[in-house]
Amino acid sequence: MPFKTLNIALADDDQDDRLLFKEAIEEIKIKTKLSLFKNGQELMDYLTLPNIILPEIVFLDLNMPIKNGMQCLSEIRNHDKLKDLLVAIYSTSSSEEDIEETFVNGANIYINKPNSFGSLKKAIEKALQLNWQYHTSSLNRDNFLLRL
Amino acid sequence: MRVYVKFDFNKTCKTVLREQLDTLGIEYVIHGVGEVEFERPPTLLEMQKMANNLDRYGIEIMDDQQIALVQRIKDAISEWVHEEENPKKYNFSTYLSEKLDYSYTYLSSLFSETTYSSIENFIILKKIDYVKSLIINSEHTLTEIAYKLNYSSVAHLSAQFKKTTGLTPSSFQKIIQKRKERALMQ
Amino acid sequence: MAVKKLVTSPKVYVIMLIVATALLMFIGSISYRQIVRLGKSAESVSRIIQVDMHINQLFTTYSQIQATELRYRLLQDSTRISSHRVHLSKTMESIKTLEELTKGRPKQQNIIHEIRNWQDSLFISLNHLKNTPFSKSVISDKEKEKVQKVSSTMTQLNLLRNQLYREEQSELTKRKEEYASQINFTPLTTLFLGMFALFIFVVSFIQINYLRRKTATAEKFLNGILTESDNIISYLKPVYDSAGDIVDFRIAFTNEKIESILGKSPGQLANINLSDAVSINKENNVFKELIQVAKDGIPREFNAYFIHNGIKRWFKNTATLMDNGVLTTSTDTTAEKKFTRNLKQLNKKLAVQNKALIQTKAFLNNILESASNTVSHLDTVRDTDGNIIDFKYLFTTKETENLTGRSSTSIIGKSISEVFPFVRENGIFNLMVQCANDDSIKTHKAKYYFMGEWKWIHTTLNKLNTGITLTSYDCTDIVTSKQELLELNEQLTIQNSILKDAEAVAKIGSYHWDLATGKARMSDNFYRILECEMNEFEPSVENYRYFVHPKDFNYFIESLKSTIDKKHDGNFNYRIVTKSGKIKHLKHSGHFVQNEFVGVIKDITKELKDAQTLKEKNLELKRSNTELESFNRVASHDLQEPLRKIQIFISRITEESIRNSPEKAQEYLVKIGSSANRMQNLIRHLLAYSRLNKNQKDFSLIDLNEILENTLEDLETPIKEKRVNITVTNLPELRGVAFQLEQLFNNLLSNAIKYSSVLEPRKIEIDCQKIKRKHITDEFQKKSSQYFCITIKDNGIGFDQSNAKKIFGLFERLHQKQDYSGTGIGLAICKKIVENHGGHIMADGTLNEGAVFRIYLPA
Repeated sequence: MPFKTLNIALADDDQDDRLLFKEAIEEIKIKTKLSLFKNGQELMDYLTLPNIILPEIVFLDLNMPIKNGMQCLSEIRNHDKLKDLLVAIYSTSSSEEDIEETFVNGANIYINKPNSFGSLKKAIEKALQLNWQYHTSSLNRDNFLLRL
Repeated sequence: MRVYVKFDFNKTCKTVLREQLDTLGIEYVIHGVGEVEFERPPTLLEMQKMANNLDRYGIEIMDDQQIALVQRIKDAISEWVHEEENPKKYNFSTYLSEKLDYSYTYLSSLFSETTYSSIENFIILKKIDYVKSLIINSEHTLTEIAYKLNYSSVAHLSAQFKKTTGLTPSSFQKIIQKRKERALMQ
Repeated sequence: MAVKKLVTSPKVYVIMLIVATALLMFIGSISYRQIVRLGKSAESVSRIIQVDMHINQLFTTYSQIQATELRYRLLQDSTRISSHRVHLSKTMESIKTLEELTKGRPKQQNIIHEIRNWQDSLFISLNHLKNTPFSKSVISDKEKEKVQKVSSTMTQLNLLRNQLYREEQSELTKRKEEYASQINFTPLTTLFLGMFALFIFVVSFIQINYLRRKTATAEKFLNGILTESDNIISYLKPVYDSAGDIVDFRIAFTNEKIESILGKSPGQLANINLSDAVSINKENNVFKELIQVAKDGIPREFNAYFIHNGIKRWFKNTATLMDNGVLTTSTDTTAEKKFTRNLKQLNKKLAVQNKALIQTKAFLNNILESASNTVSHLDTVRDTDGNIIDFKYLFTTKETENLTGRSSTSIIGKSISEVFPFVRENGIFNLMVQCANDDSIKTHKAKYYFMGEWKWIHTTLNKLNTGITLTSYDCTDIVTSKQELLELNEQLTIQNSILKDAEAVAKIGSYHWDLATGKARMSDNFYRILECEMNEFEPSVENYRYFVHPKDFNYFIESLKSTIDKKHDGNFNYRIVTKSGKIKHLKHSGHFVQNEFVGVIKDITKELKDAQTLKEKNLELKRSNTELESFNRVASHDLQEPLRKIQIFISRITEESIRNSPEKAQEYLVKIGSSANRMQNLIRHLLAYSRLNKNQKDFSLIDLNEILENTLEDLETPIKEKRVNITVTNLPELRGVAFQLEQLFNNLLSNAIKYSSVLEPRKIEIDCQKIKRKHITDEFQKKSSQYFCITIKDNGIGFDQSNAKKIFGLFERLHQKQDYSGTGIGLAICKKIVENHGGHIMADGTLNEGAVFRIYLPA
């Protein structure tokens, strides 16, 4: 069915960002279920629980206490159950090296935290849409790289 | 005097939908905007009635046939993009309407309604996906790829690539190359 | 040659004998056949005779019958009992015999058959006649006719008989001829062949006998050689394994000599495998050589040794292939080898001795000739009282000529007062007399005038037998150099004092150390460095060791020892504790001057301290740099975060409820928003600028067209908004960092767009040229021979040329914030990027007309 619920996870230590993300995702017309985590460790603990429905997309902030986004990314890519997860990096950093490094480490999407709510919505929407396209239209997911 | 209203489109739709569905007397769940799940399949009569009621609000029930047609459109696009010597003398809209025997306008609106994308966007997505595979798997230069996929110039290809993926073709290639090297090292 | 060889070969004789035997057998068979034929001929002749006899008998009988019958008729004898009946059986018998004899000869048989017929008719006629009564008177015609018939029959029979005779006669003649021919031929050929065979027999016998005698002689000779030979001669038959490879050799024959080596007689060794007889021949290569010979048949010579009963013996071996076996001849070369070795050693010894002798001789000669000494031997000349009155030269070395200008030959034999009369005046003559008298060694030094110059000559006088030996040399140089030395010494003293001062200034101390005597000398400043009085202690390792820092002592001793042992320059550092307890660092370096070790020590305490401080400062600088960098990054990043929040929440407010707020609030919100945006820009640019400080090493070949393309893509919106017309020429490829160059273009182009004129059309022209270094008029440090000069020209608001350099400075702004937003970092970033790429950037501006930015990048 085309319009099934998308499960989304976000790990971000910033409460405001989590809030804004939640609000943004509620306003876009894609049906979603969002789980929020305060840091990488919480996220990883959740993802590795048995018998959970894995999210379609995981949004990762890079700068997080306890376990940062890059560590989570490597763990996900090296985990048998999780390695096919779609990972979107959601970070303030606009450094080319950071971006390249995350892609090389297996990230699919890189979203520069935008400075307006409108662009945040757009970015999330595009990420979800493209993911959905890749998901439904036999596009090669190995090569799914998107920078927003 | 002028009064400004602000309304939640989503909420409006859902409210209307709920009202109409309630009249049927079948248990249901609304998934997001576009999907309704019934507890039992409604009869043909019930479906007819529901369609009529919803039609007034500009809400249409989609059927399996339409979904199948969308898939055929996707297949046609895929074919069009991958065809080595595709009939590019006429444009895609003609190609598609001839192939599927529907007007392009209909197909286009159906596609946009069902997927989150327009046919044009989907073609670009497909093309870029093909470009990616060519960049990765073959020794083609960008010039060759641009020619192969009927881009007017490398610049055009690069621009579309960048617009679609947010990356330049060369940085995309660099990333994939580095990924491969890393995989080899492990 | 080949024919002769063929003739003498015994094979030929054997063949000849076989031929002769074959001939004899042939002759025998022919003779046998002849004899058989003769027998046959004889038999047929006797048969013919028998036939003849029977024919005669038969016809005699016929004649008798006729006669008897006629007689009876005439006598009228009645008692005639038909006589022909008696004869009938007789004739039948004869005919039968004849038939038997003529069997196989149809002609004769026909005749006989006819005879028989006629005989029958004869008997019939006779019977008729008998039955007819006989009258004497009349003889009837009938009777006549009957008698006539008998007669004719008889005649016919006679004719037949003649015919038969003729036949027999011809047969006989034929046989006779045949016989005669055979009789002639047979004996002749038989005789001839017989003689020939006999001849061959005789020749062959003589030859064979000769060969046998020769072989016997040779064998005797060979045996003699074999038994007498000092060589071991053996004939070995190869032993094959199942695969046909040679695994061993069997001794088929060996001569007596072997007994002396192996202690076994040839008889005992015969048919014994070689490996059993001589145990080691598989290791010493003999076996391999033998197999090789047996295989390819090429004779080989090789040396090998055997150890038998613990005695190692060397053999020189020759091996030849003979009738599938191998004939080996081994000569015991042990003695020869030993002898050769001894001879060699002896030779060597002799050579060494010879060399030594030659050397000694040469050495002596050299001493005499090349020692630049003049050695002379003079005999005393005495008067009648035995007092010495003169000396006579018996010998003088060639050096004399160099010293005095007179050749040795012109001196020898003459008296010294004759040659050098002045010896009596300068006292040397008296010394010579003294020396000759009391056997004492004297020396004498005096000035002589030789060859136009004054020379100091030193002479040693020495008594030898009855004469004295004078050894003289030119000591002019020594005397002169002594004087020079004195002068030098004075200079050295001065220099030494200078050195002492220098040492003190440079904090250097030095020492000499005579390794032979162990005596050392330390410079004054060395003492001073140790904070001691001059010569306060005797300089020696033993005394010095108390100054060496205890922790460095082992290292010091080891370094010093290794320097002396290995005779290399001793460069090492160590610490000392001065008399007052101060720790000083010394750098030691030294080297050998002949047998003396000259060392220099330098007080490097201060230098080390300085270096240490420098190192620490450097580290500190590095640390602070890293700190600064991370501070920069963290600050920028962490500053950005709250700012972004401000921005995003403002956007949230403006999107949602701006229309509901009062006008002032709207204005303020917009102001907050633009301030936040400015601050964000500032932070971003600062971040970018600080990132450029990192050494970017990953240069790669970059297509500037692609870079520009991307930039224009990014700036699409402002370009469209301001309707700027941009013209671009083809840009080159060059080595650089992609994102930096992109930033460069981005900054310059956004500047050009930002400061574009209020009037249209707005233009930006991008151009590029390749220029050789010497053609570049702009001044900057040029390392590359060629540069790309990229110009970005706009028709914007421009700037005053006096500010051309200023604009590239950090936080330099030429405009009011209200008029043009800007951080004042953009161009500073551009400058840094271009400099990172080894290039140069500069700007030309005219106020209100436009600006041109020129970027030089190495080609």
